[in-house]
Amino acid sequence: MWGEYLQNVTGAEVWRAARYANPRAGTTVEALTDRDGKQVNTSLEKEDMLRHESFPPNACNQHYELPTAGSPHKCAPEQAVEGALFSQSLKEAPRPDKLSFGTIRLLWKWDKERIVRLTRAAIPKRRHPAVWKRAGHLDIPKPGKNHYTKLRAYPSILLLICVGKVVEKVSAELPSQEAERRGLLSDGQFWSREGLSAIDAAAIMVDRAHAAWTNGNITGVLLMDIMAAFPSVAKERLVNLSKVRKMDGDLVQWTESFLSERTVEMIIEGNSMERHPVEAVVRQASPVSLILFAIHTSGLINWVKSMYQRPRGYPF
Amino acid sequence: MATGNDVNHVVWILERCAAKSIEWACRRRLQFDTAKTEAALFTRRLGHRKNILYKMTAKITVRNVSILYNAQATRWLGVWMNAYLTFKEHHNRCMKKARAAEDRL
Repeated sequence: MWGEYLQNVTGAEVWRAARYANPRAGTTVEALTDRDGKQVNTSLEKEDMLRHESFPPNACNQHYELPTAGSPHKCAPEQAVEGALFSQSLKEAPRPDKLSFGTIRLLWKWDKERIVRLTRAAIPKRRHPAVWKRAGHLDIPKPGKNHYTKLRAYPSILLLICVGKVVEKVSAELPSQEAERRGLLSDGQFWSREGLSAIDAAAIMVDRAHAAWTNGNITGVLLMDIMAAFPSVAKERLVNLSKVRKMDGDLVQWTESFLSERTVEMIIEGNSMERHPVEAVVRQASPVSLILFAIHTSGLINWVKSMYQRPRGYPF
Repeated sequence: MATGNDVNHVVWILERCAAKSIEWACRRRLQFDTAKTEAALFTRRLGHRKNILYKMTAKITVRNVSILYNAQATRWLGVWMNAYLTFKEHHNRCMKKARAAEDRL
């Protein structure tokens, strides 16, 4: 009967039949085991374990005071907003408002002035609206793993609100320019800097190794990885650091607003769980995260170099 | 990245840099993933056969964990680098990927 149906199927029915004919990955998350060997079975327990793994508590008791308002900034040109919107992939899944980049592109055609004004207002108002600070969090099993009971088999994917991402992308330019202007980033910093890439870092390292060989020396490198890099950034420390380095008041205030009152909604086995506030505020998926993390760790290379003049570091 | 006259000198510098980095990170409640820490040695020639073992078995101690120099190519920022920086491994892998893509077409 199924074979007969497949023979006679036409039009859109073909795609419907394909959904049943092709094997699909299951959405069920197996019983999970954390690093300490504790096992959880229910959805609520899994949600709690995955949330703590992805957004570890980041207790920082530093006191901070916001600086006074800064200088007025140049408005982002319309082309920059358009570029930020149209450079995003249409395949990105939106959450929780479900407005995809495709939908916002349609809105751009009808009323682009509204999106431009919204983007331009972010820094001068020194506020990132709370509605854009809500995220969805999805854990999709990594293909090819032998065991799906370990947390590492579930890479986390953060789903952000698309309009917020456009604003973040445009706004990220200002902290980058400010960091460059005030020399906040170390010379060895290649990541998140305009005009520099991973290839430049590799080329410079090779060049320095060749130069050492010419002088009859040998070169050694130590590659170190910061564990849970983005979630480890503490808002209080970042704000204090930005203030000490004399970053513009508007930018510091916007950054503080951007990093405050974040909430996340975990999606377990296709079901949305309860929304929770999170302390780990710098996120992998955000365009601003790169420059904020670069500022946060900018002191490392200078610290090592101040002790030993010869070594060079290339953070990525 | 450190340069020196011999392996021991390079190991000495890198160990102290690692210790300083960890000290800096601890103050900011950051942590380095020791399991992902790698070391690589770049030299024009590894020298006479009897010296190869001595060079490649030199250990760098980071937080009481001994890290050996990678005997094979090391991947950094998507580039595979071997001890002589000839990029043979990188070339081979890129060609393999390109051939696989060609076969799919």
